[in-house]
Amino acid sequence: MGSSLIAVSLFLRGRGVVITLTSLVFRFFELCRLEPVQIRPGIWQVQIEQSLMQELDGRRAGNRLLQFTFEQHLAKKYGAELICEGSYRSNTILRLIQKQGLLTRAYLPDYVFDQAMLQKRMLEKFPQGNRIYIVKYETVYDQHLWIQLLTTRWGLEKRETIADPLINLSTGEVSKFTISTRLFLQGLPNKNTVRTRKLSFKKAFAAAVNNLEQILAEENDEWAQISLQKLEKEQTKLDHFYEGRLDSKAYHLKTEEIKRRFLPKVEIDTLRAALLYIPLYRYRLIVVDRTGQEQNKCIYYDPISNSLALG
Amino acid sequence: MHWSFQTFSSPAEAKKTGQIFQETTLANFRVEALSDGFLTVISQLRAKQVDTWDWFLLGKEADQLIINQGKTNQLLAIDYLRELWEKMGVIPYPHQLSTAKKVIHEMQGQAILADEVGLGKTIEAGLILKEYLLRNLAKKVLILTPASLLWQWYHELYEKFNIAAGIQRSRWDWEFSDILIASLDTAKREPHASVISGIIYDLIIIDEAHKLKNSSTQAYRFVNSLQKKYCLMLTATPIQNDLKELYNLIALIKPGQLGSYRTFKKQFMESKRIPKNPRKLKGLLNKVMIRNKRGAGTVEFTKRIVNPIVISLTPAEQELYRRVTEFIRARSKNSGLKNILPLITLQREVCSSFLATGLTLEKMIVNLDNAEASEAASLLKDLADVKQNSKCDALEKLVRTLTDKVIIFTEFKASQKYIRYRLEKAGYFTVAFDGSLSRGKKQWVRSVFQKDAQILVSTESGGEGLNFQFCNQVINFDLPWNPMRLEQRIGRVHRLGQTRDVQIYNLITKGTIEEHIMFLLHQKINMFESIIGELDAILLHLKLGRSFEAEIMKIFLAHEEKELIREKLASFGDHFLEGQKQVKESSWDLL
Repeated sequence: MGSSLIAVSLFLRGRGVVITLTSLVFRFFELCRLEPVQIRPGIWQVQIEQSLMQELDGRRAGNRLLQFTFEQHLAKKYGAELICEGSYRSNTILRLIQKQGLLTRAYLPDYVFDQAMLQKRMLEKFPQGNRIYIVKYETVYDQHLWIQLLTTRWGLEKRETIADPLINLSTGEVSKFTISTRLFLQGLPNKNTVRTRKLSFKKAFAAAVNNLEQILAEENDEWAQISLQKLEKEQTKLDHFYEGRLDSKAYHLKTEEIKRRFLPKVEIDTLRAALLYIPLYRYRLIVVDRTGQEQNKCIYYDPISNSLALG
Repeated sequence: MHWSFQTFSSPAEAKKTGQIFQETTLANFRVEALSDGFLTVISQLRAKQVDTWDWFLLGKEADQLIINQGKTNQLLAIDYLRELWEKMGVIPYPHQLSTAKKVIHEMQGQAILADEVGLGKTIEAGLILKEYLLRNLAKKVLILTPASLLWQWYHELYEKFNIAAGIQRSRWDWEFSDILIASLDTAKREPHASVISGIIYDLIIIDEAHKLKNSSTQAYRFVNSLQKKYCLMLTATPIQNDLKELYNLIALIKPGQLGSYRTFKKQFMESKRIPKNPRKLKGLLNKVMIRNKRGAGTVEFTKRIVNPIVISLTPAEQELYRRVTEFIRARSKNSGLKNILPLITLQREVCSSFLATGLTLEKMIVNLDNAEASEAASLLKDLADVKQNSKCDALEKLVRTLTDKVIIFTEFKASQKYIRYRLEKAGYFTVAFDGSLSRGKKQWVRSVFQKDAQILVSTESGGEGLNFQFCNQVINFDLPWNPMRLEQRIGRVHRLGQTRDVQIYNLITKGTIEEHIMFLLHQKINMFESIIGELDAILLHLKLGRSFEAEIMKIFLAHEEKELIREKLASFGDHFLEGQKQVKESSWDLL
């Protein structure tokens, strides 16, 4: 991997997944059912149809044989298009990818969890010596909205981050998404196992926003304080300039203008969303204690929190 | 077809309706949850347009990469444009890059770009615009220019920055075009002005901003009423006459930066033209204005090579020159120096072509008394009788020796026509350039000259603001008397992007005032070979400006002997050089 590629590597905190521009580009071609061919070390070639080329380069573009490289010296040497951080081609590809996959559906198959391990953990919930019998085991799928929220902090400069809360559409609970995305499968599980959602999408969005607002309220807001100080300074200058004309239209216009520029705010907008079906495991148990007394119990395993809870 | 691409914009790029879903105020900031992206997702859900999980994950990764790219303080535009610039031969200069960075990161997008002529203000503005577009900081952009520069802006943005801007043609364009180039003169008039005032722009760029120096003009009031987030004003001459002009320009960008006018006058104005507390003023100006100057540490320009060509007039031409000059002297004695302007014109024209002289005389004749009118009529008759033009003969001879493209400058349209007539007759492909051409035609002529024609014959007005770096030969068929105008001529080719030395050919008729002008501009001031930085400031400091020509004319009218004229012009030149020295040392250097 060349130094330019290392530079674009992005380490997703907490996920342990390294995304490189290279892998992203090849994945893009793969999803377009295109196979770039390496024609010499570091130089790839791919035939692109007009429709895709137009998406990349605008409506005047025609089909073409795209030669590309990730190394600047090779781009110069062979006249191939350079794909590196910020380059024209990387931008056109990234922007096109950004337009795709705005909404998807996927489910977590129930076979990914080791039942023996779960049952062992379940037993640990009860005092030793109790005998536990599983009377019934069922999987119900809860619908979740995994929403990608672009959070833009407008201060003296713009700072963007992405928040991705997961909203349970049955309970309204907002949590962090912690399951590996590789375990999910495209589509829907068996319809009979899906619980009806109780929350509208609008309410789910509101819940996600509220959750994000709480996080924002607790985080360091120095950026906003700096911007407020600047606003105050600019307002003083403006008041001085318009001395004696503070009720003029021009003064109000300029006041609005500096507020637009310096009044700190956070904008939250949805980038994309996934409707995820995540199983909830329900076990109906009969627990017989040392005295021989029987009790009916119900226990749930929630893969999101990775916890067992008595119902 | 295996894929089905979404062709609508992503929420990040989509036209924001600005519809707010939920709004909350926290301790130090406001939180606005927008509906735009969410509604896009919901509309897809309703239309059952569900994408694959793989595309979703890839899109998510792309979102993150794009955000990470935006975190850098480096200019994103540089990497984006690198290949395009290599193809186009565009080399961004360090001062242009540092200007763009400073405007974006330190000045929060509000600045006067006041580089000296030829240092690439348009490139700087284009770079800033591109950066804002790439960072999604600007979407609605308005570029206001003089009408003659609309197409130049269009081409510069398209060719050098891959920005497809629109040129305003109808009143609907204001709302529907995201990046629009328009003439300031059109924009300031109704019905356009009211429409524009209702739009909140992300970025407004105003070229030739010195036209907004007067706060009582319609243009000034119009620009002041525009709602904008970022604003760039481009001018090479932020001060033309007095400090109030500078104050007015700054007030458009950042009202209050220099206080109220009363406090500004008190704190910073010694007189109309001389500043007080220059250091403090400079400190305040530096926060809103960037002025890059030629010289060490900025840009290395190619050489200017001067080739004077002295032409001897025929006895008949010499005699006519003498008679016209005498007519001018006599007229100046009769009418005094109040109406000196037509006489200056006539004196300059007689060194250019008799056709131009004749046309001016013809216009003057109606206002002359009988004796003068009869002398003018006799002159007109004799001018028409002269069949030879030694200057044009010399021009033809010179052009024969030049193989590459050449621009011939003349001050007069009549001379321009005559030159073209002669050169076309001699078999050259020429094109004409002047202020009367329409916007599109100017650009068309420029492109014909670049691709096909060998010779462009241009008048002064046609030259302003247009670049011809692809040409490196200039012929001054006649000489402008004002160094500013001479610099503008040479500046058309001797600017950033010129890779070859520039050859300047000056045609000087022996025994005429041109010899004296050449002495002043070349030998005394050294205008041709070196670029005199702060020329505008020097002229202003010496209170010369437009009166530069008048001063020369006064010397010429007051003295008849060649040696005396030369002596007086030499001392005028010394005065200029002294002014140059004072400007360097004085507080004008605050710019």
